[in-house]
Amino acid sequence: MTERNAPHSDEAEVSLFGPGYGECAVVHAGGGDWIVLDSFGPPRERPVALQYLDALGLDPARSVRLIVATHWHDDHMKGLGELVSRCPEAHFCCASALGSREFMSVAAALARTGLPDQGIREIHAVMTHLDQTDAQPVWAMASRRIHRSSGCEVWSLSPHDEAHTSFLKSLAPRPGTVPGRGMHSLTPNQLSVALLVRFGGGASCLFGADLERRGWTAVLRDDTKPRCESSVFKVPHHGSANAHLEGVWDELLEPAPIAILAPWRRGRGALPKEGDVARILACTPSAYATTDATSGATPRDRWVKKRLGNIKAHITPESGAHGMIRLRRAMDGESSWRVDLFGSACHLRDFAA
Amino acid sequence: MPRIGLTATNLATDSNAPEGTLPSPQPPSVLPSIPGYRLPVRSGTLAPNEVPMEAAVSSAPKDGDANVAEAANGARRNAFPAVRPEVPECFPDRSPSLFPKQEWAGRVTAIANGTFDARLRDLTGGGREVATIDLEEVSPEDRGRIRVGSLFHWVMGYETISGTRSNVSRIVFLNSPRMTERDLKAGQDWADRLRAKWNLD
Repeated sequence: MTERNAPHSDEAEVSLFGPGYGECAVVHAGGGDWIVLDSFGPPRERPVALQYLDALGLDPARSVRLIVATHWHDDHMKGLGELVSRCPEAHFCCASALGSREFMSVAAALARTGLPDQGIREIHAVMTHLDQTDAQPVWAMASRRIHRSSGCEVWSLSPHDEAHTSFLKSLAPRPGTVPGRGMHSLTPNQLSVALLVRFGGGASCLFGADLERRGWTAVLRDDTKPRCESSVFKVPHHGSANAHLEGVWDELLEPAPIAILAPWRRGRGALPKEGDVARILACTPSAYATTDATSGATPRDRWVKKRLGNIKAHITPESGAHGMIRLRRAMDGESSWRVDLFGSACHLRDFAA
Repeated sequence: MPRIGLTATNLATDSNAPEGTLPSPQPPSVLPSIPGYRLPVRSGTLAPNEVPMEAAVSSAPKDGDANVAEAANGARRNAFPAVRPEVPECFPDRSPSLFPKQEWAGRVTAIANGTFDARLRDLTGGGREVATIDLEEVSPEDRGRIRVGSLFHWVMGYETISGTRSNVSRIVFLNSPRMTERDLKAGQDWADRLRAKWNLD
Protein backbone atom coordinates (compact mmCIF):
# COMPACT_ATOMS: atom_id res chain seq x y z
CA MET A 1 0.00 0.00 0.00
CA THR A 2 1.25 3.45 -0.89
CA GLU A 3 2.18 5.68 1.96
CA ARG A 4 -0.57 8.06 2.95
CA ASN A 5 1.26 11.35 2.98
CA ALA A 6 -0.26 14.76 2.35
CA PRO A 7 0.14 16.18 -1.16
CA HIS A 8 2.55 19.04 -1.79
CA SER A 9 1.10 22.51 -1.82
CA ASP A 10 1.31 22.66 -5.64
CA GLU A 11 0.01 19.15 -6.16
CA ALA A 12 -3.60 18.45 -7.09
CA GLU A 13 -5.30 15.41 -5.61
CA VAL A 14 -8.58 13.70 -6.33
CA SER A 15 -9.46 10.83 -4.00
CA LEU A 16 -12.63 8.77 -4.25
CA PHE A 17 -13.85 6.54 -1.41
CA GLY A 18 -16.56 3.88 -1.49
CA PRO A 19 -17.40 0.66 0.34
CA GLY A 20 -20.10 -0.57 -2.02
CA TYR A 21 -22.78 1.60 -0.46
CA GLY A 22 -21.55 5.13 0.03
CA GLU A 23 -19.51 7.61 -1.92
CA CYS A 24 -17.27 10.51 -1.01
CA ALA A 25 -14.64 12.43 -2.97
CA VAL A 26 -11.92 14.59 -1.46
CA VAL A 27 -10.03 17.10 -3.60
CA HIS A 28 -6.86 19.00 -2.83
CA ALA A 29 -7.28 22.31 -4.63
CA GLY A 30 -3.70 23.40 -4.02
CA GLY A 31 -2.25 25.57 -1.29
CA GLY A 32 -3.58 23.31 1.46
CA ASP A 33 -7.22 23.95 0.52
CA TRP A 34 -9.53 20.94 0.37
CA ILE A 35 -12.95 20.30 -1.11
CA VAL A 36 -15.26 17.46 -0.04
CA LEU A 37 -18.01 16.10 -2.26
CA ASP A 38 -20.67 14.07 -0.44
CA SER A 39 -20.14 11.96 2.65
CA PHE A 40 -20.30 8.49 4.07
CA GLY A 41 -18.89 6.78 7.11
CA PRO A 42 -18.75 3.23 8.39
CA PRO A 43 -21.29 2.46 11.16
CA ARG A 44 -20.47 4.28 14.39
CA GLU A 45 -17.44 5.96 12.82
CA ARG A 46 -16.72 9.51 11.73
CA PRO A 47 -17.26 10.53 8.11
CA VAL A 48 -14.53 9.08 5.92
CA ALA A 49 -13.39 12.54 4.74
CA LEU A 50 -12.60 13.55 8.32
CA GLN A 51 -10.78 10.27 8.92
CA TYR A 52 -8.70 10.74 5.78
CA LEU A 53 -7.70 14.33 6.52
CA ASP A 54 -6.83 13.35 10.08
CA ALA A 55 -4.69 10.52 8.72
CA LEU A 56 -2.81 13.03 6.58
CA GLY A 57 -2.16 15.10 9.68
CA LEU A 58 -4.42 17.92 8.52
CA ASP A 59 -6.98 19.85 10.54
CA PRO A 60 -10.33 19.71 8.69
CA ALA A 61 -11.47 22.81 10.56
CA ARG A 62 -8.75 24.84 8.82
CA SER A 63 -8.21 23.06 5.56
CA VAL A 64 -11.68 22.30 4.13
CA ARG A 65 -12.99 25.26 2.08
CA LEU A 66 -15.98 23.77 0.32
CA ILE A 67 -18.39 20.91 1.01
CA VAL A 68 -20.83 19.93 -1.73
CA ALA A 69 -23.90 17.74 -1.26
CA THR A 70 -24.56 16.55 -4.80
CA HIS A 71 -28.02 15.18 -3.88
CA TRP A 72 -29.71 13.74 -0.83
CA HIS A 73 -29.64 9.98 -1.41
CA ASP A 74 -28.58 8.14 1.74
CA ASP A 75 -25.44 6.70 0.17
CA HIS A 76 -24.07 10.21 -0.44
CA MET A 77 -25.19 11.84 2.78
CA LYS A 78 -24.18 9.81 5.81
CA GLY A 79 -22.33 12.00 8.30
CA LEU A 80 -22.77 15.19 6.28
CA GLY A 81 -24.08 17.10 9.30
CA GLU A 82 -21.03 16.15 11.35
CA LEU A 83 -18.72 16.95 8.45
CA VAL A 84 -20.13 20.47 8.03
CA SER A 85 -20.05 21.16 11.76
CA ARG A 86 -16.39 20.07 11.93
CA CYS A 87 -15.37 22.35 9.06
CA PRO A 88 -16.34 25.89 10.06
CA GLU A 89 -14.18 27.46 7.34
CA ALA A 90 -15.98 25.59 4.58
CA HIS A 91 -18.83 26.89 2.47
CA PHE A 92 -21.67 24.42 2.04
CA CYS A 93 -23.11 24.00 -1.43
CA CYS A 94 -26.21 22.13 -2.61
CA ALA A 95 -28.79 22.37 -5.40
CA SER A 96 -30.76 25.61 -5.33
CA ALA A 97 -34.04 23.67 -5.21
CA LEU A 98 -33.14 22.58 -1.69
CA GLY A 99 -33.55 26.19 -0.63
CA SER A 100 -37.14 26.24 -1.81
CA ARG A 101 -39.86 26.75 0.77
CA GLU A 102 -41.41 23.48 -0.33
CA PHE A 103 -38.33 21.36 0.28
CA MET A 104 -37.26 23.08 3.49
CA SER A 105 -40.77 22.84 4.97
CA VAL A 106 -41.04 19.14 4.30
CA ALA A 107 -37.46 18.46 5.44
CA ALA A 108 -38.14 20.23 8.74
CA ALA A 109 -41.48 18.49 9.15
CA LEU A 110 -39.85 15.10 8.48
CA ALA A 111 -37.15 15.83 11.03
CA ARG A 112 -39.83 16.87 13.52
CA THR A 113 -41.85 13.69 13.10
CA GLY A 114 -38.77 11.49 13.18
CA LEU A 115 -39.64 9.89 9.85
CA PRO A 116 -36.52 8.03 8.90
CA ASP A 117 -34.94 9.41 5.77
CA GLN A 118 -31.27 9.81 6.51
CA GLY A 119 -30.43 11.94 3.48
CA ILE A 120 -33.10 14.54 4.18
CA ARG A 121 -32.30 14.46 7.90
CA GLU A 122 -28.66 15.25 7.12
CA ILE A 123 -29.62 18.17 4.89
CA HIS A 124 -31.90 19.48 7.63
CA ALA A 125 -29.10 19.08 10.18
CA VAL A 126 -26.74 21.05 7.94
CA MET A 127 -29.27 23.86 7.43
CA THR A 128 -29.92 24.00 11.18
CA HIS A 129 -26.17 24.25 11.78
CA LEU A 130 -25.83 27.02 9.19
CA ASP A 131 -28.70 28.87 10.87
CA GLN A 132 -26.97 28.61 14.25
CA THR A 133 -23.66 29.82 12.86
CA ASP A 134 -25.20 32.59 10.75
CA ALA A 135 -23.87 31.07 7.56
CA GLN A 136 -25.81 30.23 4.44
CA PRO A 137 -25.47 27.75 1.59
CA VAL A 138 -23.97 28.39 -1.81
CA TRP A 139 -26.65 27.39 -4.31
CA ALA A 140 -25.63 25.19 -7.21
CA MET A 141 -27.29 25.48 -10.61
CA ALA A 142 -26.30 25.10 -14.21
CA SER A 143 -23.07 26.83 -15.26
CA ARG A 144 -22.36 28.63 -12.02
CA ARG A 145 -18.94 29.13 -10.50
CA ILE A 146 -19.38 28.15 -6.87
CA HIS A 147 -15.80 28.39 -5.63
CA ARG A 148 -12.51 29.96 -6.58
CA SER A 149 -9.13 29.86 -4.90
CA SER A 150 -5.56 30.43 -6.04
CA GLY A 151 -5.23 26.80 -7.10
CA CYS A 152 -8.59 25.96 -8.64
CA GLU A 153 -12.12 26.93 -9.47
CA VAL A 154 -15.26 24.84 -9.17
CA TRP A 155 -18.31 25.10 -11.45
CA SER A 156 -21.68 23.47 -10.99
CA LEU A 157 -23.03 22.23 -14.33
CA SER A 158 -26.45 21.14 -13.09
CA PRO A 159 -29.31 21.03 -12.16
CA HIS A 160 -30.97 22.92 -14.96
CA ASP A 161 -34.14 24.97 -14.75
CA GLU A 162 -36.33 22.17 -16.07
CA ALA A 163 -35.21 19.76 -13.33
CA HIS A 164 -35.63 22.50 -10.73
CA THR A 165 -39.18 23.29 -11.82
CA SER A 166 -40.34 19.70 -12.12
CA PHE A 167 -38.93 19.03 -8.66
CA LEU A 168 -40.89 21.87 -7.11
CA LYS A 169 -44.03 20.69 -8.88
CA SER A 170 -43.55 17.22 -7.43
CA LEU A 171 -43.50 18.72 -3.94
CA ALA A 172 -46.76 20.60 -4.33
CA PRO A 173 -49.44 19.16 -2.04
CA ARG A 174 -52.17 17.23 -3.81
CA PRO A 175 -55.73 17.00 -2.57
CA GLY A 176 -56.35 13.99 -0.38
CA THR A 177 -52.72 13.12 0.22
CA VAL A 178 -50.83 13.16 3.48
CA PRO A 179 -48.56 16.23 3.48
CA GLY A 180 -45.01 15.31 2.62
CA ARG A 181 -45.75 11.76 1.60
CA GLY A 182 -44.70 12.49 -1.96
CA MET A 183 -41.24 13.29 -0.67
CA HIS A 184 -40.32 9.63 -0.46
CA SER A 185 -41.10 9.03 -4.11
CA LEU A 186 -38.87 11.83 -5.32
CA THR A 187 -35.84 10.91 -7.33
CA PRO A 188 -33.13 13.34 -6.35
CA ASN A 189 -30.85 12.09 -9.12
CA GLN A 190 -32.55 14.59 -11.42
CA LEU A 191 -31.31 17.35 -9.10
CA SER A 192 -27.76 16.03 -8.86
CA VAL A 193 -25.03 18.63 -8.89
CA ALA A 194 -22.44 17.70 -11.53
CA LEU A 195 -19.22 19.60 -10.97
CA LEU A 196 -16.28 20.74 -13.03
CA VAL A 197 -13.09 21.29 -11.05
CA ARG A 198 -10.39 23.20 -12.94
CA PHE A 199 -6.94 23.15 -11.40
CA GLY A 200 -4.14 25.61 -11.95
CA GLY A 201 -1.95 24.37 -14.79
CA GLY A 202 -4.92 23.39 -16.93
CA ALA A 203 -6.00 19.98 -15.64
CA SER A 204 -9.64 19.50 -14.86
CA CYS A 205 -11.98 16.85 -13.46
CA LEU A 206 -15.63 16.20 -14.18
CA PHE A 207 -17.62 14.84 -11.23
CA GLY A 208 -20.80 13.27 -12.52
CA ALA A 209 -22.61 12.81 -9.17
CA ASP A 210 -25.69 10.63 -9.88
CA LEU A 211 -26.87 12.78 -12.77
CA GLU A 212 -28.79 10.71 -15.28
CA ARG A 213 -29.08 10.93 -19.05
CA ARG A 214 -31.74 13.65 -19.13
CA GLY A 215 -29.62 15.88 -16.95
CA TRP A 216 -26.53 15.30 -19.11
CA THR A 217 -28.52 16.17 -22.21
CA ALA A 218 -29.27 19.55 -20.65
CA VAL A 219 -25.60 19.99 -19.71
CA LEU A 220 -24.51 19.32 -23.30
CA ARG A 221 -27.09 21.78 -24.66
CA ASP A 222 -25.98 24.53 -22.30
CA ASP A 223 -23.87 27.10 -24.19
CA THR A 224 -22.91 29.01 -21.07
CA LYS A 225 -20.88 26.28 -19.39
CA PRO A 226 -17.08 26.59 -19.27
CA ARG A 227 -15.34 25.08 -22.27
CA CYS A 228 -12.77 22.46 -21.36
CA GLU A 229 -12.10 18.75 -21.69
CA SER A 230 -11.44 16.94 -18.43
CA SER A 231 -8.77 14.32 -17.92
CA VAL A 232 -10.56 12.71 -14.97
CA PHE A 233 -14.20 11.60 -14.92
CA LYS A 234 -16.05 10.49 -11.82
CA VAL A 235 -18.50 8.25 -13.66
CA PRO A 236 -22.09 9.23 -12.81
CA HIS A 237 -24.56 7.06 -10.94
CA HIS A 238 -22.11 4.27 -10.10
CA GLY A 239 -21.60 3.41 -13.75
CA SER A 240 -25.29 2.85 -14.50
CA ALA A 241 -26.40 2.77 -18.14
CA ASN A 242 -29.12 5.33 -17.34
CA ALA A 243 -26.42 7.95 -16.74
CA HIS A 244 -24.38 7.21 -19.85
CA LEU A 245 -24.33 9.60 -22.79
CA GLU A 246 -21.78 9.30 -25.57
CA GLY A 247 -21.76 13.07 -25.97
CA VAL A 248 -20.33 13.49 -22.50
CA TRP A 249 -17.33 11.33 -23.38
CA ASP A 250 -16.94 13.04 -26.76
CA GLU A 251 -17.39 16.68 -25.77
CA LEU A 252 -16.57 17.08 -22.09
CA LEU A 253 -13.64 14.67 -21.69
CA GLU A 254 -10.20 14.17 -23.14
CA PRO A 255 -9.75 11.01 -25.20
CA ALA A 256 -9.25 8.02 -22.89
CA PRO A 257 -9.58 9.92 -19.61
CA ILE A 258 -9.12 8.35 -16.20
CA ALA A 259 -12.54 7.10 -15.14
CA ILE A 260 -13.24 6.47 -11.46
CA LEU A 261 -16.39 5.18 -9.85
CA ALA A 262 -17.78 4.01 -6.54
CA PRO A 263 -19.87 0.83 -6.95
CA TRP A 264 -23.31 0.59 -5.38
CA ARG A 265 -24.74 -2.54 -3.85
CA ARG A 266 -28.12 -2.89 -2.18
CA GLY A 267 -29.50 -6.34 -1.54
CA ARG A 268 -29.88 -7.91 -4.98
CA GLY A 269 -29.31 -4.58 -6.74
CA ALA A 270 -25.79 -3.71 -7.79
CA LEU A 271 -24.01 -1.19 -10.01
CA PRO A 272 -22.11 -1.26 -12.27
CA LYS A 273 -23.47 -4.33 -14.03
CA GLU A 274 -21.39 -6.49 -16.33
CA GLY A 275 -22.53 -4.55 -19.39
CA ASP A 276 -21.71 -1.25 -17.66
CA VAL A 277 -18.17 -2.40 -16.97
CA ALA A 278 -17.69 -3.38 -20.62
CA ARG A 279 -19.16 -0.10 -21.84
CA ILE A 280 -16.92 2.04 -19.62
CA LEU A 281 -13.82 0.03 -20.53
CA ALA A 282 -14.67 0.56 -24.19
CA CYS A 283 -14.58 4.32 -23.55
CA THR A 284 -11.29 4.26 -21.65
CA PRO A 285 -8.80 1.61 -20.57
CA SER A 286 -7.96 3.65 -17.46
CA ALA A 287 -10.99 2.92 -15.32
CA TYR A 288 -11.01 2.15 -11.61
CA ALA A 289 -13.52 1.16 -8.94
CA THR A 290 -13.27 1.89 -5.22
CA THR A 291 -14.14 -1.68 -4.33
CA ASP A 292 -13.98 -5.01 -6.13
CA ALA A 293 -17.63 -5.89 -5.46
CA THR A 294 -16.96 -8.88 -3.28
CA SER A 295 -18.72 -8.59 0.02
CA GLY A 296 -18.22 -10.61 3.12
CA ALA A 297 -21.10 -12.57 4.54
CA THR A 298 -22.37 -11.99 8.04
CA PRO A 299 -21.51 -14.95 10.27
CA ARG A 300 -24.71 -16.70 11.31
CA ASP A 301 -26.17 -19.69 13.00
CA ARG A 302 -26.33 -22.66 10.60
CA TRP A 303 -30.06 -23.03 11.05
CA VAL A 304 -30.58 -19.38 10.12
CA LYS A 305 -28.32 -19.69 7.06
CA LYS A 306 -30.30 -22.66 5.84
CA ARG A 307 -33.60 -20.88 6.36
CA LEU A 308 -32.36 -17.78 4.59
CA GLY A 309 -31.56 -19.96 1.61
CA ASN A 310 -35.20 -21.04 1.45
CA ILE A 311 -36.89 -17.66 1.53
CA LYS A 312 -37.11 -14.95 -1.09
CA ALA A 313 -34.71 -12.44 0.40
CA HIS A 314 -31.14 -11.46 -0.28
CA ILE A 315 -29.06 -9.97 2.53
CA THR A 316 -25.61 -8.42 2.40
CA PRO A 317 -23.56 -6.46 4.93
CA GLU A 318 -24.28 -2.73 4.64
CA SER A 319 -20.65 -1.83 4.16
CA GLY A 320 -18.08 -3.99 2.51
CA ALA A 321 -14.37 -3.43 2.68
CA HIS A 322 -13.94 0.08 1.42
CA GLY A 323 -11.24 1.25 -0.87
CA MET A 324 -9.84 4.48 -2.16
CA ILE A 325 -8.65 5.64 -5.57
CA ARG A 326 -6.11 8.43 -5.30
CA LEU A 327 -5.00 10.57 -8.22
CA ARG A 328 -2.24 13.15 -7.90
CA ARG A 329 -0.41 15.42 -10.26
CA ALA A 330 1.67 18.56 -10.05
CA MET A 331 -0.11 21.74 -11.12
CA ASP A 332 2.61 22.66 -13.60
CA GLY A 333 0.71 21.79 -16.75
CA GLU A 334 3.28 19.19 -17.77
CA SER A 335 2.59 16.29 -15.47
CA SER A 336 0.10 13.49 -15.80
CA TRP A 337 -2.04 11.90 -13.12
CA ARG A 338 -0.50 9.24 -10.92
CA VAL A 339 -2.98 6.59 -9.79
CA ASP A 340 -2.74 4.83 -6.42
CA LEU A 341 -5.22 2.24 -5.22
CA PHE A 342 -5.84 1.50 -1.54
CA GLY A 343 -7.87 -1.11 0.31
CA SER A 344 -10.30 -2.96 -1.93
CA ALA A 345 -9.98 -0.50 -4.85
CA CYS A 346 -9.22 -2.15 -8.18
CA HIS A 347 -8.93 -1.64 -11.90
CA LEU A 348 -12.40 -1.88 -13.44
CA ARG A 349 -11.41 -4.94 -15.50
CA ASP A 350 -10.91 -6.78 -12.17
CA PHE A 351 -14.32 -5.74 -10.89
CA ALA A 352 -16.62 -8.71 -10.35
CA ALA A 353 -19.97 -7.38 -11.56
CA MET B 1 -27.02 -25.17 36.76
CA PRO B 2 -29.06 -22.08 37.54
CA ARG B 3 -32.51 -22.68 38.85
CA ILE B 4 -35.03 -21.88 36.22
CA GLY B 5 -38.68 -21.68 36.94
CA LEU B 6 -40.91 -23.40 34.42
CA THR B 7 -44.59 -22.71 34.24
CA ALA B 8 -47.11 -25.01 32.74
CA THR B 9 -47.36 -22.62 29.85
CA ASN B 10 -43.84 -23.51 28.86
CA LEU B 11 -44.49 -27.19 28.57
CA ALA B 12 -45.54 -26.98 24.96
CA THR B 13 -42.22 -28.42 23.94
CA ASP B 14 -40.37 -28.95 20.72
CA SER B 15 -41.63 -32.26 19.40
CA ASN B 16 -38.56 -32.58 17.18
CA ALA B 17 -36.14 -32.11 20.01
CA PRO B 18 -34.49 -35.13 21.59
CA GLU B 19 -36.57 -36.74 24.25
CA GLY B 20 -36.26 -35.14 27.62
CA THR B 21 -35.01 -31.79 26.37
CA LEU B 22 -36.61 -28.43 26.24
CA PRO B 23 -36.14 -25.63 23.73
CA SER B 24 -33.06 -23.53 24.31
CA PRO B 25 -33.74 -20.39 26.29
CA GLN B 26 -33.92 -17.35 24.05
CA PRO B 27 -33.45 -13.69 24.90
CA PRO B 28 -36.64 -11.74 25.27
CA SER B 29 -37.97 -10.17 22.14
CA VAL B 30 -38.12 -6.42 22.02
CA LEU B 31 -41.47 -6.61 20.34
CA PRO B 32 -44.13 -8.55 22.18
CA SER B 33 -46.62 -7.58 19.48
CA ILE B 34 -45.48 -10.44 17.28
CA PRO B 35 -48.29 -12.97 17.15
CA GLY B 36 -47.57 -16.08 19.13
CA TYR B 37 -44.40 -14.81 20.69
CA ARG B 38 -43.85 -15.39 24.35
CA LEU B 39 -40.86 -15.73 26.55
CA PRO B 40 -40.19 -19.46 26.79
CA VAL B 41 -38.31 -19.56 30.08
CA ARG B 42 -37.34 -17.13 32.76
CA SER B 43 -34.78 -16.99 35.52
CA GLY B 44 -35.34 -16.56 39.19
CA THR B 45 -36.66 -18.36 42.21
CA LEU B 46 -39.67 -20.58 42.14
CA ALA B 47 -43.11 -19.20 42.65
CA PRO B 48 -45.57 -21.31 44.64
CA ASN B 49 -47.21 -22.80 41.58
CA GLU B 50 -43.99 -23.50 39.73
CA VAL B 51 -41.86 -26.62 39.55
CA PRO B 52 -38.12 -27.09 39.18
CA MET B 53 -37.00 -27.65 35.62
CA GLU B 54 -35.45 -31.02 36.41
CA ALA B 55 -38.73 -32.35 37.70
CA ALA B 56 -40.67 -30.95 34.83
CA VAL B 57 -38.33 -32.46 32.29
CA SER B 58 -38.63 -35.90 33.83
CA SER B 59 -42.31 -35.94 33.05
CA ALA B 60 -42.45 -33.65 30.08
CA PRO B 61 -44.76 -34.77 27.30
CA LYS B 62 -43.20 -37.03 24.69
CA ASP B 63 -43.66 -36.84 20.97
CA GLY B 64 -47.27 -37.34 20.17
CA ASP B 65 -48.38 -36.88 23.72
CA ALA B 66 -51.69 -35.14 23.31
CA ASN B 67 -52.32 -34.50 26.95
CA VAL B 68 -49.85 -31.84 27.88
CA ALA B 69 -51.90 -30.95 30.92
CA GLU B 70 -51.59 -34.41 32.37
CA ALA B 71 -47.85 -34.44 31.88
CA ALA B 72 -47.49 -31.08 33.49
CA ASN B 73 -49.60 -32.16 36.44
CA GLY B 74 -47.35 -35.17 36.84
CA ALA B 75 -44.36 -32.88 37.02
CA ARG B 76 -46.03 -30.87 39.73
CA ARG B 77 -46.90 -33.93 41.78
CA ASN B 78 -43.31 -35.19 41.63
CA ALA B 79 -41.88 -31.88 42.62
CA PHE B 80 -44.26 -30.96 45.40
CA PRO B 81 -46.17 -34.06 46.35
CA ALA B 82 -47.73 -32.49 49.40
CA VAL B 83 -48.92 -29.41 47.66
CA ARG B 84 -51.89 -29.01 45.33
CA PRO B 85 -51.15 -25.76 43.53
CA GLU B 86 -53.93 -23.78 41.98
CA VAL B 87 -54.32 -24.48 38.32
CA PRO B 88 -53.84 -21.28 36.34
CA GLU B 89 -56.78 -20.13 34.25
CA CYS B 90 -54.88 -20.55 31.04
CA PHE B 91 -54.00 -24.16 31.78
CA PRO B 92 -53.60 -26.16 29.58
CA ASP B 93 -52.03 -23.74 27.13
CA ARG B 94 -51.84 -24.82 23.52
CA SER B 95 -51.42 -21.34 22.13
CA PRO B 96 -48.52 -20.94 19.72
CA SER B 97 -45.08 -20.01 21.03
CA LEU B 98 -42.44 -18.48 18.78
CA PHE B 99 -38.81 -19.19 19.53
CA PRO B 100 -36.70 -16.65 17.64
CA LYS B 101 -33.34 -17.68 16.24
CA GLN B 102 -32.66 -14.47 14.34
CA GLU B 103 -34.21 -11.03 14.59
CA TRP B 104 -33.78 -7.81 12.64
CA ALA B 105 -35.21 -4.32 12.86
CA GLY B 106 -35.64 -2.90 9.38
CA ARG B 107 -36.57 0.20 7.45
CA VAL B 108 -37.86 0.15 3.88
CA THR B 109 -35.71 2.19 1.51
CA ALA B 110 -37.23 1.33 -1.87
CA ILE B 111 -40.06 -0.68 -3.42
CA ALA B 112 -39.89 -2.05 -6.95
CA ASN B 113 -40.69 -5.11 -9.06
CA GLY B 114 -42.44 -7.11 -6.39
CA THR B 115 -39.65 -6.60 -3.88
CA PHE B 116 -38.63 -4.03 -1.33
CA ASP B 117 -35.19 -2.93 -0.23
CA ALA B 118 -34.46 -2.34 3.40
CA ARG B 119 -31.73 -1.43 5.79
CA LEU B 120 -31.51 -3.93 8.62
CA ARG B 121 -30.12 -3.83 12.12
CA ASP B 122 -29.21 -7.32 13.24
CA LEU B 123 -30.70 -7.62 16.72
CA THR B 124 -29.18 -11.07 17.23
CA GLY B 125 -25.60 -10.80 16.09
CA GLY B 126 -25.22 -7.02 15.82
CA GLY B 127 -24.16 -5.14 12.72
CA ARG B 128 -25.94 -3.46 9.83
CA GLU B 129 -27.12 -5.11 6.67
CA VAL B 130 -29.13 -4.35 3.57
CA ALA B 131 -31.69 -6.63 2.00
CA THR B 132 -33.93 -7.09 -0.97
CA ILE B 133 -37.02 -8.95 0.19
CA ASP B 134 -39.81 -10.38 -1.91
CA LEU B 135 -43.23 -8.95 -1.07
CA GLU B 136 -44.47 -12.54 -0.76
CA GLU B 137 -42.51 -12.79 2.47
CA VAL B 138 -44.92 -10.29 4.02
CA SER B 139 -48.43 -11.31 5.00
CA PRO B 140 -51.13 -9.99 2.63
CA GLU B 141 -52.59 -7.92 5.50
CA ASP B 142 -49.28 -6.12 6.04
CA ARG B 143 -48.37 -5.52 2.41
CA GLY B 144 -50.53 -2.39 2.29
CA ARG B 145 -48.37 -0.91 5.04
CA ILE B 146 -45.14 -1.17 3.07
CA ARG B 147 -43.95 2.29 2.16
CA VAL B 148 -40.55 3.85 1.86
CA GLY B 149 -39.62 4.69 5.42
CA SER B 150 -41.84 2.00 7.01
CA LEU B 151 -40.34 0.21 9.98
CA PHE B 152 -40.64 -3.51 10.52
CA HIS B 153 -39.50 -6.33 12.74
CA TRP B 154 -38.37 -9.58 11.17
CA VAL B 155 -38.15 -12.78 13.17
CA MET B 156 -36.92 -16.14 11.98
CA GLY B 157 -37.33 -19.05 14.28
CA TYR B 158 -39.62 -21.91 15.01
CA GLU B 159 -43.07 -22.01 16.36
CA THR B 160 -44.75 -24.70 18.36
CA ILE B 161 -48.46 -25.18 18.38
CA SER B 162 -49.73 -28.00 20.56
CA GLY B 163 -46.33 -29.59 20.43
CA THR B 164 -45.99 -29.40 16.68
CA ARG B 165 -43.01 -27.43 15.49
CA SER B 166 -42.79 -25.43 12.30
CA ASN B 167 -40.22 -23.01 10.94
CA VAL B 168 -41.36 -19.44 10.55
CA SER B 169 -40.11 -16.23 8.98
CA ARG B 170 -42.38 -13.42 10.06
CA ILE B 171 -42.15 -9.78 9.03
CA VAL B 172 -44.36 -7.47 11.04
CA PHE B 173 -44.73 -3.84 10.04
CA LEU B 174 -44.99 -1.27 12.77
CA ASN B 175 -47.13 1.81 12.88
CA SER B 176 -44.90 4.54 11.48
CA PRO B 177 -45.12 8.08 12.71
CA ARG B 178 -47.17 10.23 10.37
CA MET B 179 -46.58 13.76 9.39
CA THR B 180 -49.41 15.93 10.61
CA GLU B 181 -50.64 19.33 9.52
CA ARG B 182 -49.08 20.69 12.69
CA ASP B 183 -45.69 19.22 11.75
CA LEU B 184 -45.95 20.71 8.30
CA LYS B 185 -46.94 24.12 9.72
CA ALA B 186 -43.94 24.05 12.06
CA GLY B 187 -41.74 23.09 9.10
CA GLN B 188 -43.13 25.97 7.04
CA ASP B 189 -42.49 28.43 9.86
CA TRP B 190 -38.90 27.19 10.11
CA ALA B 191 -38.45 27.41 6.35
CA ASP B 192 -39.96 30.92 6.19
CA ARG B 193 -37.72 32.21 8.97
CA LEU B 194 -34.57 30.71 7.48
CA ARG B 195 -35.37 31.78 3.92
CA ALA B 196 -35.94 35.34 5.14
CA LYS B 197 -32.60 35.20 6.94
CA TRP B 198 -30.94 33.94 3.75
CA ASN B 199 -32.72 36.57 1.61
CA LEU B 200 -34.41 33.92 -0.48
CA ASP B 201 -37.87 35.50 -0.52
